[in-house]
Amino acid sequence: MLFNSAEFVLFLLLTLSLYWAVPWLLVRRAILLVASLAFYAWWDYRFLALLGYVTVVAYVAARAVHAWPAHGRRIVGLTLLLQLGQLAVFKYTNFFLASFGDLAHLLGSQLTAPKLTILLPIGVSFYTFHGISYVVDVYRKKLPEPLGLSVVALYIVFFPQLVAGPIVRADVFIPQTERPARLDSRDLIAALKLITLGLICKSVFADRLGPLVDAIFKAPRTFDNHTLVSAAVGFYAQIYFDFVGYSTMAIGISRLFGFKLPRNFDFPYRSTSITEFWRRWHISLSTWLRDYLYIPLGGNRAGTLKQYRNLFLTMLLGGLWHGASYNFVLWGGAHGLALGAHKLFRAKFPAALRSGPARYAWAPVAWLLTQGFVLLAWVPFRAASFADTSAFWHAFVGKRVDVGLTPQVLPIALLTIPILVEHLLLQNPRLPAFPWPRRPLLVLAVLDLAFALVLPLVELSVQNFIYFQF
Amino acid sequence: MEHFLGPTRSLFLAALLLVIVGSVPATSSAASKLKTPVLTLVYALALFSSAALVWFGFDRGAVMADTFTSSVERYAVDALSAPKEPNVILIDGGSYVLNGVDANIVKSELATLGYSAKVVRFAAGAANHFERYRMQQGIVQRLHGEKDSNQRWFYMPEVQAGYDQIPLAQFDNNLDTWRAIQYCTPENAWQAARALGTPGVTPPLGGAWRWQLFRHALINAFSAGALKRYAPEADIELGGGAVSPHRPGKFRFRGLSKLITAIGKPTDPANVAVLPWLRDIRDRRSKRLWRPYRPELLYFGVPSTTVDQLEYVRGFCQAVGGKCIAPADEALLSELDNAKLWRDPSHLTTVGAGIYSRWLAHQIAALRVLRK
Repeated sequence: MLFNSAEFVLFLLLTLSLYWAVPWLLVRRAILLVASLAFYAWWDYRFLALLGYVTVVAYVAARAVHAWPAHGRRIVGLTLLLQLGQLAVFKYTNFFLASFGDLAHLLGSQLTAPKLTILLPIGVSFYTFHGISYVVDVYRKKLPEPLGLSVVALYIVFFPQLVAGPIVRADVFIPQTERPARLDSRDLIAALKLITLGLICKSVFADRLGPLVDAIFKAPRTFDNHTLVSAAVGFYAQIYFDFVGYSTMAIGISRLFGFKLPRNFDFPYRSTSITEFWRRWHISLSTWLRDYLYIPLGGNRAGTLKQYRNLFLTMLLGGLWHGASYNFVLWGGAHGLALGAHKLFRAKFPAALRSGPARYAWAPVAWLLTQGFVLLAWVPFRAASFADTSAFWHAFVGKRVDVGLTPQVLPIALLTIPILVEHLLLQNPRLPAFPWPRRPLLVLAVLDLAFALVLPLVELSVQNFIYFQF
Repeated sequence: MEHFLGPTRSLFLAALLLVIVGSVPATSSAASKLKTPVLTLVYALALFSSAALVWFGFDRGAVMADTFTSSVERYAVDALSAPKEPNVILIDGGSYVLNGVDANIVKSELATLGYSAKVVRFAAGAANHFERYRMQQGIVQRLHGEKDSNQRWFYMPEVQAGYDQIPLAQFDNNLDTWRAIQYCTPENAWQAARALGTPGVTPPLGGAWRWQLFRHALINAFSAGALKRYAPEADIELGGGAVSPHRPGKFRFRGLSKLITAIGKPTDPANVAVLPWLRDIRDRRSKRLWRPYRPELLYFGVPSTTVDQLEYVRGFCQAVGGKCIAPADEALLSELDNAKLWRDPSHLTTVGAGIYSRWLAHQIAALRVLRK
């Protein structure tokens, strides 16, 4: 049940009607819980048991941490083992087996690793992180006391964020479950606005780019260099609009139930450094990794070298979190190195380039370097193999014999139009805000008409959100 | 050159909408003065109104849905624009008609009999009654109701067991296709649902059709993805009324002797019936749709190699009494009793269509309803 499907529209209307029809907090929570489980069961009811496992482990562990604070560290360790253990089984078993086989080959053994048929439960990485986040927050005393099973379950399974985030912190979400939800007209307008924006990003931009990009990434070695560069730029746009579209809709839908979730993207393609990029891209994941991985690893507390190591390890594991493939490891590792390089650069060239007239010259160069890196790093993220990645990279620098078919592709400039429009014109502090009359009925009329005009533009051959697979 | 619905322009339109929606103030303090339920209701009503406006924009604009029936629709509009002939014959049907009735032959045969007629065939393969009705809606909209007062119009719906007994035939095969979405207008879907509630019909999808029909109607009503299915009228291929050349198919032809024997016997009384939905829903809608032209209804059936289809048409014709042409004619069936005239058990070849079309023209003339 995708957010942009007819099934979901009816599901949402039904859930909203039931939810707001009852005044009691407990019943509303129960309605949301049942709806969320139904939403997940729609994908594959068999994995409800896994969802139950993650919830029960988190609930019991938090109780245990609270009951035996002296053993808190061990209990958190055991929780990590249990939660990451199931993630490893479902997501990484074949990857580990294949890696073991490759290593055996390197050592001269003829051992062939078996390939097991294991279905990847949708959204498993996201709800596993929620499960971990809750226990760690109780351990860190960010939450006053362990909560009831229904609250914990709702935090983990809340359907707008269940399958592709954003990864909301327990201390942000849970307090909202405990106070009476209200939906005032401002919330309603904000929610409708977010849903419309998300729909444009996902169903118009991302889904329009998807087939073009998919076709080329499927067999890149049969295409010419121009096409490969177009596909890479296309994916640069697609992944952004796909994910920002989903996140924005998720935040908008949550708002309809009275929950305020933090924003997950802040115009990341405006970034002029890789550090800034990670402050703007998938904010809920980057801050999660910072707080639950980078800082526990030592963060920047144990000297520069260890800080670089921690940064690199965090990004490497962050890459692996996205998928069980060396391509994701390469992507994460490249970002880890780039973050380290940027820190080094800042240390060696302090502020000189960021002040005075030099900054006007430096800013476009920094932007080009940053976005060029991000674009190139997306290639292994999307490509099926190292060989394909290499073909793309070689195409960029012209070090590839121009062979293959030349299909009709959209010009590269066209692929970047939505990004340019969105990044340059929306919420740009340098531009004056459009002087809309602040009349709610007018705002609603604009939103209505825009929504009705967007619908004919959507791509109906609905594609899954890219982040569902993670 | 890219037309105005093309990908580049629609991308610009989407970008413009993004900027407009993005710039709308979401935290207007004035908003709080209005109650949320009131605002929700206003939003819902305005959304339906906006969606209806967009729908009519597509439906009545200079664009056409580029789906399975579009080329037929364009041809029909072209053929029916200010016809000069005293008789206008509209032949409606599915694949039996598409393969078995050649409008040009019917016309020329009628001419040899002394009747000048414009013969237009609205036939589309695997198109149920509702899909064909939607196609005819498009035709009627573009004709602007011009009719010569001396003209006589005839509307000839095909009598075919499959499409009559399964009102949403082929819907299950065409789920989530542009053609299914295009004909599932809310009104058409509602009428289809009504038809499926009448006695004697078989529902598609093993009975689980309600949600699918509703979903298609929802997509249609909100014009979701409409840009992909609409194109400027001039871009649509122009169809025709002739039967496309076909060779005999590879199937075992068992002859028409059983059919010839069957027509020698009286019709089984159980078959002498008209399904209620055909009379109450299909025919009423067709009459209403074509009202500006005041057409007379003439039913007809196309031969196939199965006794069941022939018996169904015979029973239907007997039940409606007159103005119905069943291919229950020994001479015709004997002439068609040849494997080379059949593509498959249900469809005639081009040569077979020629034989039947000439026969049909004679039958129409024999009804003595045409104007000289």
